[in-house]
Amino acid sequence: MSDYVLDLTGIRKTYRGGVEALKGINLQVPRGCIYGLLGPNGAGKSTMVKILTTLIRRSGGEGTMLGKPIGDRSALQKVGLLPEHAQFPDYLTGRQVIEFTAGLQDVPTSETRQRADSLLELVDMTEAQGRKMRGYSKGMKQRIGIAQALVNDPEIVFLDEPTDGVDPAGRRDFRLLMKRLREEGRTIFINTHILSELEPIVDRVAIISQGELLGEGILDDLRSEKPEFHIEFEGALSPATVESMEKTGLILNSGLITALTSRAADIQPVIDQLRREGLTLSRVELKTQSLEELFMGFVDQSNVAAPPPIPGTPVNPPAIPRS
Amino acid sequence: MKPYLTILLDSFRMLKARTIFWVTLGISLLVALIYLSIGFDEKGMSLFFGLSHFESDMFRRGTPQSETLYVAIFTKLIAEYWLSWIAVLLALVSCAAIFPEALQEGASGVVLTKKLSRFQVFVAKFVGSLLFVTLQVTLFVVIVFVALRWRVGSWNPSIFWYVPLILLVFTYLYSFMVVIAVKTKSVMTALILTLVLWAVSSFVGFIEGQIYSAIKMTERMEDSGKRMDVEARSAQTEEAEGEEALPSEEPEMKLEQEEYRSSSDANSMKTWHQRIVAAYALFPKTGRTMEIADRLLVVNGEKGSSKGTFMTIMMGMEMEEHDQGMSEEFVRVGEESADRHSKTYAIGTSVAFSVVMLALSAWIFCRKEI
Repeated sequence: MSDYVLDLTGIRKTYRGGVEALKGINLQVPRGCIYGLLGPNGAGKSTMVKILTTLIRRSGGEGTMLGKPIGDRSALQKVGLLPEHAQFPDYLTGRQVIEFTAGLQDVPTSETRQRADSLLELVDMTEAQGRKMRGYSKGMKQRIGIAQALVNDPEIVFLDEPTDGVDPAGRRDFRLLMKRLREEGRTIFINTHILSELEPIVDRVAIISQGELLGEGILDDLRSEKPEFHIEFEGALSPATVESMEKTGLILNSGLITALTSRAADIQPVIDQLRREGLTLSRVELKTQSLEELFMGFVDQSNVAAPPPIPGTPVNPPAIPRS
Repeated sequence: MKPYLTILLDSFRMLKARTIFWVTLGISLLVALIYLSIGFDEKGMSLFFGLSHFESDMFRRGTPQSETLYVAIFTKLIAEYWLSWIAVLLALVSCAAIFPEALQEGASGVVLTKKLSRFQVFVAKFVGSLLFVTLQVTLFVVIVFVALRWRVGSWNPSIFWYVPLILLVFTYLYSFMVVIAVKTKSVMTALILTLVLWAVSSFVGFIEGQIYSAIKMTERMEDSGKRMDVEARSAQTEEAEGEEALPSEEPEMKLEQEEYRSSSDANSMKTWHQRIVAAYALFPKTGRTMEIADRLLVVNGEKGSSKGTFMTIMMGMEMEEHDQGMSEEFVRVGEESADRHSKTYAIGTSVAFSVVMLALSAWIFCRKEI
């Protein structure tokens, strides 16, 4: 069995009118991780999920999901999905929505009741299970949406903007739930543009913008690509020290020296110099990029540096270390 | 099998959640109840379970006229107006949203990304709509069936022909509605265009029938005129044999001119009729299909009695011999008109229309990007 639950090569989508939503995306999603597909609105995230779940057809490229070609119904039976702006029948109760999805996924009747009970408990909707969907808040609908996505005991779960409209407590619960699902060995594929939601839980991320994959990899690896040591001190450096430090590439601000390195040994001479000058060290810290900084870095880089694509030329993402 | 049943159950739940479902059911039951309230006793007939009563020798318990009248109320009022038009219209309104809603972004992801293929989902949703209509019509016809037994004392299983035939009429129109629904995802557009199709189809069918009847009446009048002319001429010849022969060229020329004009009109009508028949072949024949139900109905032991026999029984007894002859002539033309297309032609071409529409809508549904 492949280690990748998703293995995609050159996925393209051109809508009628010539809008290129995806421009040859290569993606490998390992089993059992929380995978974040990040991108601004209109980047192509939802298009990708729709292709994988057969809501739209791809214009090119190929790939497998759970070892089967994209679109294979037997593979989809092992997939859970919470679509973007999910609309569940408002005449059904929360419990009936879960049972409805169970029926569509051919979950045995004997198991459906038990699974519905445990999922309602998991998303904290046991008490409200008998109310019609039309009476639920957005957050409650999302909770039911997540529960129905899990009713078929899926190997991979696609969640498209899952915390959209969910309150802070609900978001915390959501993060805990995602961790729990990962512990159960499921792969969670999350589309979002709310980066703070993903940062504490995500294992791998892919960043897309304007249909192109800008970067992909383990979050910590991506972050450590641009590490910085921040050295904070009290007092003023002598002009000669300032000049010599700037020559070595250090960035000096008032009371702060930034060293573009992750090696502690590299900053020892700086600390020695500060001590020689009788200055007080108040803080030394290795800084990594936040997910948002990483994301914005890629997007800005793409907007500034990317020349207009030459028709027919394959678009390749930058080389990023893989796990 | 379970995913199919799930979609069927959901379709039913969706319809049940709509006000129109309960309105349709309520009106159905009300109409059935009013029908049930009509009764006959030894002195005459009553309405509203005896609240209103009037005496009649003809329409009282045990007379063939009372059975004919009771069945005629069903065929001529309830079936012809309620079942053929209003109930079908309400069913179309009820089912109009099933396919557009299935293709809405957000809702489609719940159903179309599961075990069943899109074609299977399409079939399940279509069958669900048909089951809904079957349920409504069957319930109504069962009440009528019981009413007939109660009021005129005879079981009349032939009224169950209305169930499949109304279902066919609904299928013709609904198949077209589904094409528009899956193409535009708009409930209102689908409904309006379906009503336009229904109106156009009925109008073309009506015009075709009228022209056909006109042709037949012209032919009969010509035959009858010729017969009378031959009889007149032979009478004149008999008279002339005893008298001096007179030149008779002028009247003969007039007659030929009239015959030429008449046959020219008839030929022109026939040409137009052929064109309309060719166009009508492409349309679903809702009216013709309901006429088949009329003709399959058994009243007083005779099939198709809702037309000729009904007229004869209800009116023939009261008419003068000459009027009766004229009436029978019209009835014969009417029956010829009703028989101008075979059942196989009427249903076959309409089913072919539905099959084409369904194939087209299934193709669009399966390829639709959401």
